[in-house]
Amino acid sequence: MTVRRIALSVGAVLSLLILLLAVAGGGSDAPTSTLLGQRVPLVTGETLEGDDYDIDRSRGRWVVVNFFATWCPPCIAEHPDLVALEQIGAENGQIDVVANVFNDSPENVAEFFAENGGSWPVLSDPAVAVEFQIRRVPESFLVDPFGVVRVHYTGGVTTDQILADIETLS
Amino acid sequence: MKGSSPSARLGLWIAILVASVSMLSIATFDDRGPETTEERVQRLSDSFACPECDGQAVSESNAAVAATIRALIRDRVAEGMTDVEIRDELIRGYSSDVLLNPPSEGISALVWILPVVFVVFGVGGWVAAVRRSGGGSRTATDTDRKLVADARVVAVDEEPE
Repeated sequence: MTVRRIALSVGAVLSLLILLLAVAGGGSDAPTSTLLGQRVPLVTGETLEGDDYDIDRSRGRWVVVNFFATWCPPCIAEHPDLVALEQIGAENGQIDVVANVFNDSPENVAEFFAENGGSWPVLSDPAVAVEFQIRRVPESFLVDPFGVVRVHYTGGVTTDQILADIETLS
Repeated sequence: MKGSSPSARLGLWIAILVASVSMLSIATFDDRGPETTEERVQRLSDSFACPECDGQAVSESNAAVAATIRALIRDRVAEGMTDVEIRDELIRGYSSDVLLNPPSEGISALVWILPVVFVVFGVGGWVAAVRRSGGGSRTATDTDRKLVADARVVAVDEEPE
């Protein structure tokens, strides 16, 4: 009888532990980024056009770090807004745009930019995507003039949205 | 096992021991030569989970994030980074969810501990059951002898004339 009681107790404890494990494993789909409020990770390297890029050279300006692919419809949809944003940044000297390709070929990207406009630096570095915890595109980050990540955008951006965020955070 | 002779039991234990040692030796000394770069990339891709796919290995997934991780692994292997350095970089990006084998610390350690607990209790229960059924070698005590003697007296008394 005592053995049976011990076995039942052990079984109950183990069941509770398994339940605890199952519950602890959930909730990993949250789209929040742990980078918010942190110093921006390194974004350096050779662009697809062969130039050297370093995000630290944009210190003092807002930077939109965009992750995209030419096969992704929301990325195609947000592109005109990024082109407009680049134009505004060129005029006021306060906003830079940089992009990192997500699983796409340099040829496709060159063709895409030739067709749709935009002349911001584009990197193709999987390490940058991993560092920014990118799971699917498009995703973008707004980095403030001090190099701190302030906003995380998923599913595409608009010019108005980014300008409004910059105004709010300035 | 109950009722088998001690020599048969000894033979069985020796057979189990020989089989275990043989398997461990094969696993330890299996010499297939040094791992190639491609084999290492494949092995690492097999050991990481695609963050967007339920439990699928990076090597098996068609998701863009899996392709990105494969590209990173290939780059890092080419740069001469160690497995641990590559693993740490991926964990920094996607947390320990990116590991197909759960880590042996924190709440995830239960995945490793629970089977051991089950085995320990299982073996303990089995030993207790064998002991209770009298499978172990036991010498008769005075109480046992008295019980048997009393039973025999009763049996003789009740024997029909």
